[in-house]
Amino acid sequence: MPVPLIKKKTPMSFLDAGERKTNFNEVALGYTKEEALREASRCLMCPNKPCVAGCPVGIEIPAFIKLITEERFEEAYEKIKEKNFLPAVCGRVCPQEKQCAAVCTMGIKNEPVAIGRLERFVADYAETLGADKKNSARAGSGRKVAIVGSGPAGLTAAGELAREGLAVSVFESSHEAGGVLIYGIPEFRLPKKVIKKEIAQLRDMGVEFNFGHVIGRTKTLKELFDAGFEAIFIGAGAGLPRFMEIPGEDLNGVYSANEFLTRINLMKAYRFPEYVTPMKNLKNVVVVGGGNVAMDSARCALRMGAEHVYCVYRRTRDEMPARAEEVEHAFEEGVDFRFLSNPDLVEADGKGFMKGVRCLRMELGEPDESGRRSPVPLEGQYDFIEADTLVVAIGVSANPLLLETSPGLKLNRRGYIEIKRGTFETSIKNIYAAGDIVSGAATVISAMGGGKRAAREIVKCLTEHNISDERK
Amino acid sequence: MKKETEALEVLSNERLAEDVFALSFRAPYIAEVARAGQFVMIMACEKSERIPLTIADRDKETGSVTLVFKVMGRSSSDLSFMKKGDSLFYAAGPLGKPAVFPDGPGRAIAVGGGIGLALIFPVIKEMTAKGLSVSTIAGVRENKFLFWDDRLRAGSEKFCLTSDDGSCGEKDFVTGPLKRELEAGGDIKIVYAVGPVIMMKTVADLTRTYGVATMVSLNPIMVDGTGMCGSCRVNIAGKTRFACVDGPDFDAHEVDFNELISRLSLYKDKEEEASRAPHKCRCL
Ligand SMILES: Cc1cc2nc3c(=O)[nH]c(=O)nc-3n(C[C@H](O)[C@H](O)[C@H](O)COP(=O)(O)OP(=O)(O)OC[C@H]3O[C@@H](n4cnc5c(N)ncnc54)[C@H](O)[C@@H]3O)c2cc1C
Ligand SMILES: Cc1cc2nc3c(=O)[nH]c(=O)nc-3n(C[C@H](O)[C@H](O)[C@H](O)COP(=O)(O)OP(=O)(O)OC[C@H]3O[C@@H](n4cnc5c(N)ncnc54)[C@H](O)[C@@H]3O)c2cc1C
Ligand code: SF4
Ligand code: SF4
Ligand code: FES
Repeated sequence: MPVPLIKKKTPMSFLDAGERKTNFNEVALGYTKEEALREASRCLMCPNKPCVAGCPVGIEIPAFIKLITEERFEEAYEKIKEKNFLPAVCGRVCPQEKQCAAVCTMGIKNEPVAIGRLERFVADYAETLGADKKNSARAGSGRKVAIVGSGPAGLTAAGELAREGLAVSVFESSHEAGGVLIYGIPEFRLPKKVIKKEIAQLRDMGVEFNFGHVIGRTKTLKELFDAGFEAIFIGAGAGLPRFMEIPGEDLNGVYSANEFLTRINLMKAYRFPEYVTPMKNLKNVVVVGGGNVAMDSARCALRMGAEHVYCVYRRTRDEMPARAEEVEHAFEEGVDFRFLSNPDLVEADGKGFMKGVRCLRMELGEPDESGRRSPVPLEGQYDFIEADTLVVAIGVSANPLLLETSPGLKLNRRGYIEIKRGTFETSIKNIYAAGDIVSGAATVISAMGGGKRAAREIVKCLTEHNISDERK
Repeated sequence: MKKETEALEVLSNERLAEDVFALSFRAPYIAEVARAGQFVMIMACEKSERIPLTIADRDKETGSVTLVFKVMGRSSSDLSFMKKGDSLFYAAGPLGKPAVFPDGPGRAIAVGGGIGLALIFPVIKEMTAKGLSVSTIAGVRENKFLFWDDRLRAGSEKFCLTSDDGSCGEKDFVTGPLKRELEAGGDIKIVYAVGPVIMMKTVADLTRTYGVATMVSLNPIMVDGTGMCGSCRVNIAGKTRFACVDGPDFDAHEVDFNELISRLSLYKDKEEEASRAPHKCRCL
């Protein structure tokens, strides 16, 4: 049944750029059923399925797309759920162009299949059918496993373990579950109700959530074992913000992206004063960085009423690590990009606040180890940007709070937790780890992939052999 | 199975002095392990700010934690309205590094100003347990802000009270009696001061001239309290530190107090706006 080849991706509707930057409503509107059917028909159903290998959790992509073409949406949803616990989330935030879609056969001559958009459609459509309510936990041993952190890694591990009938308790220091999905990625990209729904499902499966429990302070890892947990999964993320270490960074008006985004997203400063957490009045905002975090900060700043938002990045647009779609959206919304530029001084107004940022011009030199051409300063060539706010989004490192209080937990050179390849076990028996606390800042889906595979190992240990006897 | 998140039930909420409240609630997971100098991040209800409050007392047996706070703005005011039987939305802790004291024998001086009267209470207990002989100096602006003087007096070897206007105790700032104590000498192992930033700064300036080791408990604006935001950064001996994980106690002689004072003024205008906004949250 040869169908004419559709060369271009089916476009998705977005909120108009002028309208959307005044509010926090979701920007990408998703496919309608008709659009989804059209896009699904583009898939070539390649027998060697290169796309599956491109997905960190190995979703059976052609299989679920085929089910879409047959309008068997509930089954398509089940197909995705076999591999991916949070399809509504990943369909929205996965950097597909670097993963599944990067290796899609269609992409060789034409545009790749919009796999993530189809995934999102299936997840959202399943909700309207009520198919997402099914609870697939099986009766099991009830043996206790503790999860530290409720980001995508922790939530995926929790789901996987609960499905196998283990008694799962999540320990989360914050007051909401979701990690970066809640405090970092803004509402207009990932509505919080999408995450809340996924978490409600976990609760239905018997997962217990303990908020306000900071592992390392409230309880140590050892104390969790003492309390009867037989295995621990650590998914604590890489939450320590990095600053630039330039003069003036302690001035009022300078924020880490983590603080800026937490105030706005987690604490809902955009609904101030109904929600009480304040954000200072923004006028001219400079965001430093070129990743997703920088894009989110810049676009939040616009929505918080800033008049002018600059994004200062030391390389060029081609090297930006952010998702392509978000960069495009930031441009459309009027973010003023200053490429090949890097702040080296925050100027004070004499009253404890900042009044501007001095930036050093750069040029691209030789490629570094990562293959990207590294920026080289042009000595003496400066620009000055007048600004009341500076948001530093140049990356994070491992938060030492948990690591410092866990003697015996081996870290790698970069300060992240070292794991045994393949098993995800740390240097301490029965403690497993995955996600950003192992890899450094990465992606939602890779954190989930790690969480899932670590959970499998835990299940294997707790069900196949009786670890607590055998390994003592 | 164990009950999901502990109920965080309010056991009592008592007015101690003008705008000062002592709130006790059930949080066994915090009560069990809390040490002097540590704090909690707390939210009265879902829409409150996350605010840090020092653990003033705790009881392992009953699992209760006591906080003493001053009504400053909207979020502390939300807390002041909580009644026995209500549930707090959230409490995380204990956070921060526990205070570290030298071993006795020897002398120690605890200085508390304003709300700091409550915050030195666990400090005195722990210093005494270390075998130190504790002199306590408590200072308030006027009599109507005075509380727990009986407890502090009972817990200390020596006790001295000052007020700015002379309405109770000596008419002086805490630095008056502190100077006397320092002059008197003896083996003073440590001075521990907590209260308004300006008080901690003057204490630090005074003890520096006597070369006496001094600790202060800093109170920068915090958001998460677990090292993830950098809002609480303070300048210690020229280095940026995060008070919530590296502190909140620091060597007083290394603190850049002027920077701290400046950073605390960041949201003044906004806080007034929040306090004026109509209250509609669950707990009120
Ligand atoms: C602003 C922003 C935008 C991003 N955009 C994208 C995107 O578009 N696409 C994409 O794929 N990726 C994106 N990422 C990256 C992605 O979000 C992360 O890689 C992913 O969330 C990592 O998951 P995790 O489970 O390892 O950790 P996290 O999501 O960081 O979660 C860790 C959780 O552990 C908790 N925790 C930490 N320490 C303790 C402790 N001691 N005790 C108890 N709990 C603890 C934390 O409170 C947190 O809830 C973005 C990241 C940021 C910051
Ligand atoms: C580690 C630590 C322990 C603390 N322990 C106590 C305590 O035991 N009892 C107590 O009464 N207070 C304590 N504080 C101060 C307390 O957190 C603030 O008073 C509270 O956050 C004010 O919140 P609010 O919404 O009621 O007032 P807001 O309206 O937010 O603020 C009112 C005023 O307080 C200042 N302020 C705002 N946030 C803070 C803050 N985090 N710290 C200090 N000042 C702030 C503002 O500059 C403003 O002028 C502590 C602070 C820290 C960092
Ligand atoms: S989870 Fe991400 S990588 Fe995997 S198929 Fe979906 S969009 Fe592609
Ligand atoms: S590689 Fe592309 S075209 Fe081929 S099966 Fe996967 S999604 Fe379809
Ligand atoms: S309060 Fe966020 S790092 Fe200290």
